[in-house]
Amino acid sequence: MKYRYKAYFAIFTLLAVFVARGADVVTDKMLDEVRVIANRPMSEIGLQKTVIDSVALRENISLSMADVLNFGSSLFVKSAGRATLSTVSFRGTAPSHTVVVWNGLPINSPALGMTDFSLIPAYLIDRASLYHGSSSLMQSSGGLGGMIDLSNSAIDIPQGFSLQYVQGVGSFTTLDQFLRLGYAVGKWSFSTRAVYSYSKNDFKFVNTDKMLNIYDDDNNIISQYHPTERNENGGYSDFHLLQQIYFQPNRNNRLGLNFWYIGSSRNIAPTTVDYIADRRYLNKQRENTFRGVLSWGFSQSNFRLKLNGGYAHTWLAYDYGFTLPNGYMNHLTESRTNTDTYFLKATADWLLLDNLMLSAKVALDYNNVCTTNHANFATPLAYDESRLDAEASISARWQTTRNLALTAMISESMAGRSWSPVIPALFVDYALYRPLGLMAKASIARNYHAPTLNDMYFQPGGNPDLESESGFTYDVGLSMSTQFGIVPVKASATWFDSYIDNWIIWLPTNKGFFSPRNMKSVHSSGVEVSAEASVVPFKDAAINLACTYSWTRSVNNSEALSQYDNSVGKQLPYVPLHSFSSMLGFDWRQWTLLLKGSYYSKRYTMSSNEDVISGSLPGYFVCNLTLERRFSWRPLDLSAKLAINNLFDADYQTVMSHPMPGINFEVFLSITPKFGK
Amino acid sequence: MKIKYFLFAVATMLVACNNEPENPNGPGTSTNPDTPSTGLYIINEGMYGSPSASLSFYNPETDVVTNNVFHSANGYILGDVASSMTIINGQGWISVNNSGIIYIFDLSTYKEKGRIQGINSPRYICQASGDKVYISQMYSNVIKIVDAKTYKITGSITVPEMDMKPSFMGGSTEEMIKVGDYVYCNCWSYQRDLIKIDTKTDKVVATLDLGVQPKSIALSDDTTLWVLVDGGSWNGNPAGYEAPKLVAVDLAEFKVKKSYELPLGDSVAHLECDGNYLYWLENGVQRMAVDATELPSEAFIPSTSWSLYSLTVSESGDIYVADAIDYTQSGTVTRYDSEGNEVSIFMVGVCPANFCWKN
Repeated sequence: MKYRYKAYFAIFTLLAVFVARGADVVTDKMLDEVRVIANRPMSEIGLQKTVIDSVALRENISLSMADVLNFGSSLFVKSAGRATLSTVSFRGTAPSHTVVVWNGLPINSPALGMTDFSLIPAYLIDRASLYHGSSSLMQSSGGLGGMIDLSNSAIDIPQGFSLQYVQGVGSFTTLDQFLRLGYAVGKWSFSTRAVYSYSKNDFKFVNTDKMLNIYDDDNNIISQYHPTERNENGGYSDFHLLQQIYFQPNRNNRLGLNFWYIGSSRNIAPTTVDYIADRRYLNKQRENTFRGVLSWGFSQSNFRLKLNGGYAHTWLAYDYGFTLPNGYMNHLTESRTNTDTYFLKATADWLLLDNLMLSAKVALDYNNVCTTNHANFATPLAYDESRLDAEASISARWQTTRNLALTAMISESMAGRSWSPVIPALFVDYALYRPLGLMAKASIARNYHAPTLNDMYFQPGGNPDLESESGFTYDVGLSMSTQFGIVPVKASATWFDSYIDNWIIWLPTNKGFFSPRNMKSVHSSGVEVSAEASVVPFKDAAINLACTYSWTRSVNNSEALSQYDNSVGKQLPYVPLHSFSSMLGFDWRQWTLLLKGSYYSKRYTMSSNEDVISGSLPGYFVCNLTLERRFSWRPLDLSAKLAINNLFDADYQTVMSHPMPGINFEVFLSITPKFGK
Repeated sequence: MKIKYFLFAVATMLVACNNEPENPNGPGTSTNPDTPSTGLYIINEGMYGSPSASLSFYNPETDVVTNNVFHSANGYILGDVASSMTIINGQGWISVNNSGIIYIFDLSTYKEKGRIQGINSPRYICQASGDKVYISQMYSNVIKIVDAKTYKITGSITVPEMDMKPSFMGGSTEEMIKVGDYVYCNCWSYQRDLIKIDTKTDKVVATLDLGVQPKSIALSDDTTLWVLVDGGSWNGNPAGYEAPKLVAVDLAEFKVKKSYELPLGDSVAHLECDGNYLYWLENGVQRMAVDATELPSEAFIPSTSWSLYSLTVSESGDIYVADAIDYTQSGTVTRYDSEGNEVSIFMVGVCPANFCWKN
């Protein structure tokens, strides 16, 4: 019996390795059974961290990080469909409160503050980790909600020459292509990845926000109906090229160079209440982005140093206009924004004693935003502003006893000439019951988020007098990692409580434009729960289940603007009280079935949480399914995959007035030649 | 046993909750709207980019407001950014700017009678003569002409040279007032002019440069049109930035009769006139006699709210002031008597942007 369990475990391990490699091939080689004893690294004392499973990253080439986070985390992903602006929020905060880095380089827009996750193909990312709340401070300041760390790795480049090509064809004239070339020999590793996606994205939907009339000869309305429309002007074309070069001259040193180019052209679909869609109009966004990061890592037995230097440039064009009767295209917006970011970061960890580690971090981030809106103006609306942001921190991690560990950190950040107060943070780990891997974790911290350059200087409306948003947050949680028989189980539950003051919000004015204000105080609290387990139901099969759930109460805690201000004490717009995601994977021999679900409860669109027309969006559950069959021959491995999106044809909207596609399909064929094997 | 686990896991995945919106008509919305012969319509702009525009009706006699009257009667949403409403031949005409549509509805039942499409950014509606209706546009140098019987676009008036000016944003026409055979229209967004249109020929016959962005107009008598010029509102405006002002235009001469400069940077909007006094929004409600020789030294109805959004004055002299609060919740309308004393306050829709009297 004991041996049988061992055999099951070995099979599971083998399958887990396969699943973890996603689209990689299954070999005929039997792996030796290995026993892994995991100790919690000192660098993660007290951290609330979620590592996105590589299965999710490698599921299919059409997925962006927005899709992955939607189905694989408790974060709220706000998106108006594929290839539309997709933002991510932690714990009831704003999208700009989520710091996002790629290989150490901050990729939040210095103009807007947020990150568009629809422009990050999951296939270009090797590692994705979420740092919730104060845990983000160990990586970077400014993440009042949290931080997302995306990175690439040399480990994923197999030795020798490798190639993989994936072709996807789907509904709404959708084409997805992915090519990866890899070469690793000796001290060098190279990888080139390219993704190209094109779609008309013209799905059909019944527009229940519109009613069309049928008239008699006397122009009287005799009947009305909701029209079936197409998602007009929703097409897109995105190209990504990622180049990785790694050089490891010896055991102690590693150099890495990563380049990422994005070329994107996206039309923007009208709302469901746009009755002028039949006119010739222009509503389009184009982007060219280049990002480059050079990194050097040095490690000895008790010392580790990492230097990152990076540069990013984005050219963003937004055009909106329509044709006048004389045929002239009336450009209402002809916006061109160039952003440049120069980045330098150094981190050092020194293991002073066996149970004491000291760390220091210095980061410089220089941003320039030059934006112009020519439209029909002789004098364009423009601003050209720069700001140097800096951050320094020191921390000590101390394993005080076998069960208790502490991390204390202080940091200071600067935005332009404005210095934040000293930012303290404290993290605690306590092993409650080792046989179950039961740990208690807690953290407490302050944090600050500076206004973006658009907040301060945008024309018209920018407000240079804005103050930084300030946050205070703490969380307490339990985590468990054990194995019941042959079933490995992980679970965690965390309570968080955050206060954000001087929340910046853009509001209309009587002057005909929007302007930002330090307006709100927000109290956000809630629970984050996650669980995952794997079972081997029968020979050659494995079932993996992972779920997340969060309950987020994020309320306006400001003083009432007037006695009739009904927003005080109410849930912030577009923050769901409940969110749930789950992934169920079933592997059997050369087959893999993956079922994913994502649920968001009702989201109010009005600050007063009124149940009136257009005052809220109903909750929804969306389910995607993929079925894959792999083939392995001597010259190549081949995989065929069917993806069914919105399996139950749910009629839903994430952003009001922007319909989402119903059930749709895409098939993928992956070819991986076996060079020299 | 393991199959049970599997089924349990699948069942967990498949729990779907597609809730319908609760109480779609919303509190305070009656399905039997109060439709007396007189009253006040409140045009609620809604949140830009979302289908949240709505129409409210207030009965001053009973002090009762009915919200969402258009949706309640028709079962569909008014649209995105309702701008203004005008009553023409006993029917309500309401323009929904960002949806590019004008609905015509029965004033008693609120049922739609027809609609006008093909106008990109409709703003204000003015009955020029008989069945001829002018519709101004925010992003165009063209005023559309519509037949009030067929609701068809029958022609257009191009504002001359507007598209040749250095900062024109494609042109813009705004509020309109008819006096005799002429319609006067202020050109607001990135413009400077007051234009005079001959309703017999549908031509612009005169243009008067009043400064940066003439925002609102009101008639004190048939000889004098008052214009509130916002001065550009922000430093950097390509059309210019200067102190806002209140200008009296002699309609016979079509010349500036007098002009009063307001403090630079003040936000000014919604000029109204009851024949004796001018009213406008500027740090509260300002009131000035039409024959005054200087500006008021203090606000008639002071306010610290930065979200006062629209203003109207009844024939009886009551003043109605709309407040958008935070622009993302139901706004309020406060009714004051002619002395500025608060009479009542009532909740309306999101961003109450304009009023229309049913007399």
